[in-house]
Amino acid sequence: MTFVLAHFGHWYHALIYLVPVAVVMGMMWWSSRGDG
Amino acid sequence: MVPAAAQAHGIAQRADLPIPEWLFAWGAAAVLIASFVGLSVLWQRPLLAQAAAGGRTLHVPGARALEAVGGVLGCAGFALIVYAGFAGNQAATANATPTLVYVVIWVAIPVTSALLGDVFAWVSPWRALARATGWAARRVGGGALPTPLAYPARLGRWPAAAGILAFAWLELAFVNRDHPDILAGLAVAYAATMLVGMSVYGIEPWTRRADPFAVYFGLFARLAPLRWRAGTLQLRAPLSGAATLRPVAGTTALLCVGIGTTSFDGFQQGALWSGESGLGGRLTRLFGDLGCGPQAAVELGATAGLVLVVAIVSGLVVLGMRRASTVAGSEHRTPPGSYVHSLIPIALAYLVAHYFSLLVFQGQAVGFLASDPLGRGDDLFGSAAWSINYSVVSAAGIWYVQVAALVAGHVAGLALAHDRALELWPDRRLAVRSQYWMLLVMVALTCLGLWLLSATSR
Repeated sequence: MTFVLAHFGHWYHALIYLVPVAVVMGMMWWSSRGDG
Repeated sequence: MVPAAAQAHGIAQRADLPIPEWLFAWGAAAVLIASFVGLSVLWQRPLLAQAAAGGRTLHVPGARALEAVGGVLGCAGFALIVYAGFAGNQAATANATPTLVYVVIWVAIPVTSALLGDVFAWVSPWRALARATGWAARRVGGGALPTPLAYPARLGRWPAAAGILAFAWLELAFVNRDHPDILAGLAVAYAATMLVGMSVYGIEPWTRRADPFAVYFGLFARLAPLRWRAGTLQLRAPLSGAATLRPVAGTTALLCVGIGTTSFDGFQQGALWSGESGLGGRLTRLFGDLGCGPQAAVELGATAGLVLVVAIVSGLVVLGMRRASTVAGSEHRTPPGSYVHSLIPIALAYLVAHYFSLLVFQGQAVGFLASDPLGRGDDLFGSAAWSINYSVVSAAGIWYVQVAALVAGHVAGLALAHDRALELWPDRRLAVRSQYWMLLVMVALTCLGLWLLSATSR
């Protein structure tokens, strides 16, 4: 299986859309500190 | 740096958008987070269950005649779908059947239901036929009909989930999806199945739980500020009808199928699926190498993609709902399925976002197809020469509607889940904390939806 550059581009592009998800996960982690 | 790099990889932006598409996803996520905070601070006690029961109720004069009119309209539409499908021109764009099935039934009816209430119950041809037959049998037989069997509780909404998945397969994986004669044959088979089901389990129990279109569109009708019932019209708060949804078996599956199949529709139109070395082509080649014929290989490839996307979306949704039933440090648990109703506005948002352009463009075809439903050159109403005006809305306009639908649907989902959490948790702070996972799922689904739409080939 070979990926052409454009498809890497699209998958790479998907990562930009995951940033808000990572932000919310970070906020959840931060708010649960100290819960043990 | 990032957008420039992304563009270098061949991702075209909609030319007239002021900012790149991914920034809309970030903005949408910011709106969801702000809404979550707003709900936590301002919405302090459960409101919706009470609002669903309240509101003004108006008596509708001539309600029975109105019901009969809806039944006749539905039966006429059904007859047209079947007759045009079998007897008409077999070119998909010239025949009214594909447009009636994929645009009017599949998109226009659910959108109308969310605004005006349960339209499909009003026009359902098989329900109207069954009710008319029951009425006639009682008149002729002079007594009560045999009591139908009790609908099995364990089946719940599973038949509806299976039916909607099958319809989505027809639309998205079946190669001959727009052959009018095949659609007409399937419409007859669907109606026959519904009539048998209603005769065994009773008209209303079957319609409420097992008729795929009636159940699925009925969920959207719960968002509407209007509820039609037994000759009355109830005016209630929008969304409040969803709060009274009973989470019987199969409800989560039905909504996951709705969201997942619509997602696959978007995915299928994007370069990741249909591009030169996209996943669609790879799967088709894989099944071709395994010995399948060309048509079967395409269908099996699309089926695999459909199942995969539905599984990913379902996994995400189920994870969020499971995690929302507990909070670290508290023994309290909320019952499974407590938040399933919050998926209804999300399914509607996905439907609107993915099919808005189909509705505004192909929906115009109803104008000329009404005059020439069989595609034989007729001009019944003088509108046969009309054509589709593709300039009614621009690409940027469509994008704004898609973003607005996804944001509004997910904010509504957050509000429904928040209201339910306030009902179920003894303490408001725990209720809010239980919803962190729901927020995560809502942000993920919004970003997934916008990513799929941004990758759509155009």
